[in-house]
Amino acid sequence: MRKQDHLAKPYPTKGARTASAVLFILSAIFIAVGMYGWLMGDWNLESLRPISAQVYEARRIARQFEQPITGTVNLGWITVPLRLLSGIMNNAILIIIFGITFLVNAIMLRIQPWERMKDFFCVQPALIFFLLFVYYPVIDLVRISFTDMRMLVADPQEFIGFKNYEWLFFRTGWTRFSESLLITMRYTFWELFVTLVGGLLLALLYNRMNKAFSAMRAVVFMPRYIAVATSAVVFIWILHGNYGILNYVLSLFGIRGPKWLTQADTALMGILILTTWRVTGYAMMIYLSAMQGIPKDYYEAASIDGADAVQRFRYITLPMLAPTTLFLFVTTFIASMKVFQSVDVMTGGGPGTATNVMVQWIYNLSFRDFRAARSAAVSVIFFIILLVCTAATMRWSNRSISYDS
Amino acid sequence: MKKSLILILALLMALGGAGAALANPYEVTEPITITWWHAHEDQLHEYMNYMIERFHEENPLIRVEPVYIGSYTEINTQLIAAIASGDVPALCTANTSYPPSYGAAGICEILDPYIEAYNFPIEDFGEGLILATTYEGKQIVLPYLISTQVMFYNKTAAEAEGIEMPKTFDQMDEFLEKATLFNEDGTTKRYGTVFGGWDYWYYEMLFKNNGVKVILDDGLSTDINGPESVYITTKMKEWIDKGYAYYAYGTGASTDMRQLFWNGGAFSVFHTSSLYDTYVQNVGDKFEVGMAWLPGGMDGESFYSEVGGATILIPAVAPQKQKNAAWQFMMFMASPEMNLYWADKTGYFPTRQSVMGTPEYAEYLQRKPEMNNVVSMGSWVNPRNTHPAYDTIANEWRHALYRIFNEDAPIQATLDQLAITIEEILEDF
Amino acid sequence: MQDTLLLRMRQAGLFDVLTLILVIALALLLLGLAGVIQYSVQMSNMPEGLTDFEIRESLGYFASSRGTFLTWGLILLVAAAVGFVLLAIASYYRDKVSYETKKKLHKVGVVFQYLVALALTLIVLFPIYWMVVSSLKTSEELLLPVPTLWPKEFHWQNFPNVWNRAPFVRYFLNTLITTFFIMLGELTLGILAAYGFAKGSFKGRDFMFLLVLGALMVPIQVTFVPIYVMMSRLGWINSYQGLVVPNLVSAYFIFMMRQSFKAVDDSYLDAGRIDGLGRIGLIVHVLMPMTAPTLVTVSIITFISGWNSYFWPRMVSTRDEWRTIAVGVARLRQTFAGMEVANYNEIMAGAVMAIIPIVVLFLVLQKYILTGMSKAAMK
Repeated sequence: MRKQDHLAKPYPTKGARTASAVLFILSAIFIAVGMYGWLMGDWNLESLRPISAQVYEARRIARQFEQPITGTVNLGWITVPLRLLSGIMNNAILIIIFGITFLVNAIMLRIQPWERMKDFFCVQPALIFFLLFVYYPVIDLVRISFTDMRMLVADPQEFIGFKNYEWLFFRTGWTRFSESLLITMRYTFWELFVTLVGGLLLALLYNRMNKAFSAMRAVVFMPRYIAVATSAVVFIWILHGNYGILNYVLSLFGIRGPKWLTQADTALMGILILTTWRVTGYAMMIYLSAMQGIPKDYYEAASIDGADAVQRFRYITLPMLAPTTLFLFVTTFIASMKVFQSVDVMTGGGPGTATNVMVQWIYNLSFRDFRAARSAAVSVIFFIILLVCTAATMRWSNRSISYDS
Repeated sequence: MKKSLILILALLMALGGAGAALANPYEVTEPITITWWHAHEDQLHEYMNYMIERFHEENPLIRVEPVYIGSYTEINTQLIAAIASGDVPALCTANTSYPPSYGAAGICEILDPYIEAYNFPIEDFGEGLILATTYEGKQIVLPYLISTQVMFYNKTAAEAEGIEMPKTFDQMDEFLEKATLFNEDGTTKRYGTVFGGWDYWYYEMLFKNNGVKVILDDGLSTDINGPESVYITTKMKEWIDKGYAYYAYGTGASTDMRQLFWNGGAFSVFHTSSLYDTYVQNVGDKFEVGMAWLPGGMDGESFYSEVGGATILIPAVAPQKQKNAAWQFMMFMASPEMNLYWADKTGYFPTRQSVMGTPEYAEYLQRKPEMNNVVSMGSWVNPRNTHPAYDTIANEWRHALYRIFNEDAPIQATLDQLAITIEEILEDF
Repeated sequence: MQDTLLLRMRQAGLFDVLTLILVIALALLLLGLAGVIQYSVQMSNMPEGLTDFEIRESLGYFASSRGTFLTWGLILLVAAAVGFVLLAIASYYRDKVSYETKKKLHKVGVVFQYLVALALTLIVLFPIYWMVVSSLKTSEELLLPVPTLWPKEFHWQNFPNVWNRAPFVRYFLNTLITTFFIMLGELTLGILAAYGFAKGSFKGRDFMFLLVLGALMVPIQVTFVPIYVMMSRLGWINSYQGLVVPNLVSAYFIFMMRQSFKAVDDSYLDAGRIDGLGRIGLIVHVLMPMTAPTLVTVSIITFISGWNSYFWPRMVSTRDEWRTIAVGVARLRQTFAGMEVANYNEIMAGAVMAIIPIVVLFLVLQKYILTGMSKAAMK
């Protein structure tokens, strides 16, 4: 039964055609105006500078005297109020995206019936959102990485070509970058280890299905749902060099605890302690629910064949858990490369640069050193790395999923 | 008749308009509320509120709302973010290290026209402070809470054990040997001193009084890896390795160091004179707190210190009305009366020369005899380094010192690496 | 027939595991040996007059890690040896031991499992316990060299103190409002979009869905700087719009709901259409009830992550009145301006207040969260 049976009207109707034409025109206007504003504001084109300078000056005066922007500017063939021009410059992207939306709708109206258009309307808001807050920022990120933008001064940016990348790959940026990448890799490795191995071990330990164990599992699992930032504050106190409870407990065993978060060699360890506390319970639950899905007859058959507990685990549980392990691996891997919250609260990247994970470094570059352009360049490279890793792990997981036999 | 009335009215209005144009453009003419971002710790809030209340009494049109933002570094970050987003406070406190970079970036409102319009006696602050608060000759901030580096020490123990505070750098060896106490197992029971590592301001004079310039006169090269710097670094490392001192670095280093001193775990610390009252209050009856000038250069002739503390600025992008109101408050804060009030209540010292001759001043010195040690050396207080990149460079230096002191990095090699980084930063500027 | 001991040991699954550990131990020892060799070779060729640090830096990887390799190799070797001995004993006595003894041993094993599980649970619970206990101590008790497990007296004052120190009411309000609107946006726009992609049929549907998948790949950690600039141009820094709008739609949500919607058989939809339901009606009366469990779970997860969110609010809210709970508590340390060590009790009190809503929510809604997770694992 084809879907089209209940779609009555043939397409495109006259109404759709006119609407489409109107939208085409609107989209052309919007995109043109938006591009103009974008080129003036964000791209700061040389040829358009005399006009944009007038806008900046008008803004400054308006701010100083707490008045709205006044005045007009002569564009040659038309005189535009500066207020309008300033608004266009500030919201250029919005205008362009509106234009794109009109364009797409115009095209859609011509190629399908109204009924199906309604389906399209359902997804439009989400798509517009993604255009605005996902795809445009990526483009802007690349654009910024080619300028000398600083967050410090509100002046427009200059194009400087590949200088930021040159700094990143050939000058001092490289030491910082490789160091940051290494630290992020170390962190990811250990988080993966703790999640996969620790989660599995805990799943084996807590595998009884009675009320007591249920309650215990809930406790072990809960830390994941507590805000990272808040748990980080608690752990700062626990890991405090002089007054923290951890060092006290260690001293009972005769070990002199280090100054965890303020010592370069133990800072990352301290953060990993927090991570372990949070993620192991979650991994445990995932493994457990997967283990529930393993048919009991496999185990029975195996014990009849003389396999003991360890062998049953090796030959039945582990292979059947392979998809889960892969799932945990892929999600944890990508997520842990983006770690920021725990590091930001606990050490801010320090001491020195001992815990300077990538996202923290990007944040510091733009919000502490105010070198937005440099942080954009690093973000672009980081993003590429993330994409490559995601693609690689996806490929690997598709190839090696084992099926029921 | 009506016509002539209208004409007269029009004439009057025109005259009034002209009169208004002639009047002070920096005057506050209507009620206004302004925000003041500050970084003052809890202990100072009482005095701050007193000052604001007094200001409200004298200036009924203006209300000042203080907002505590965080530490000096935090307030710097927030100010920059605020300027970027256009939503600025009327007044902002800034640590004395920031004016040079702010001046270069055009962040502050130039105060000269205001000073002129109100005949504000800026010369009363003395040459050094004026130098510290101007950029390219233009006044960009006003100094209001000035302090300098000092060493706080346990005066009771000093007298009991016969320990004399070191006057010059070469006396540090003997001093630290005497002042440090060890446990039986060799660990330190009481540190001779603690070097502040969370802000370069606390140790840089040890270097600068011994010939290290950090940024050389050409503005492009550095002597951070030169023989003097290496020598000082080596001596400091030696003391740290022997357990005489430690380098207080990392989050919470400042608060930990204070607590250690108050608990008797350190004989002396390098800190700021502004916290004198805090130290006295927290130590309580345990012992008497002494305040000593920093050890000078080995040549016996350089006893320089640098001005620290807080300045106050008006962001350039604030609306004019707010700036006018803010200026009124600034003048009040920097008045001789408030100057002495702050000095009395805290360890900040009076900055206006006109204050120093008054009988109240003499009385204040009598109440706080330790301040004499600082005030008598007042002529040695210099403005901080005015290069806009100095803050960035000095922080790199601070991290490098951490690696040297706490991670046993080789001194010469690390400083050489640091020199390269510094020169790159200087190039950027 | 008498099996030899070795044969019996080989039958045990543990044997292979122990062999594996033994192999790893030997490998590590070999690496350690290589390290020792490299070390002695390099040391004998080392030029004079180098400092310790320089010597350390110039050593090869194996040379400098020889200690770690040897130590771990030795530890694993000992563990394997002990394991083999125990296995031998167990195998020897396997048949000689009576059924009752086996049952008793089994019971001991069970008890052991309970004990270990309990111990671990207590360890996991400890940070929370410590947080609550610290929040009730006085400053002096907080800094005692020997920490106390239970406060000497309940210093409830910490809670009102920290409540006054930071605008907790605003924090809670901001967090509530932000989370509410984010959930509203995500649910409405997300469900609509999920419907369109799952059950709608318009040209280019699959291509457009690729856009959604692409959005999954782009993390906020990469795009936050341009979005921040966008917000600042709009004047939305320190505002509810700034907090809410960049999070209005979640690609993950759309992805999950599309999966569930797709699983609903078309016949239900057709039945609904016959009954006269329009699109919205279909979504509300057919699809949502049928996918209720997933919907509830994903909603709860959205709520919790919205409540706990730190990353974006930290960028957008620079003023204290606009902070959310997670950011506010994390910034509490800064408000003590150098005196924070003595005030961790108040900081912990703040943390307690921040965590309570989530803990309560979690305990009440565990069931839903658990079912949702098992579904996710099955993808």
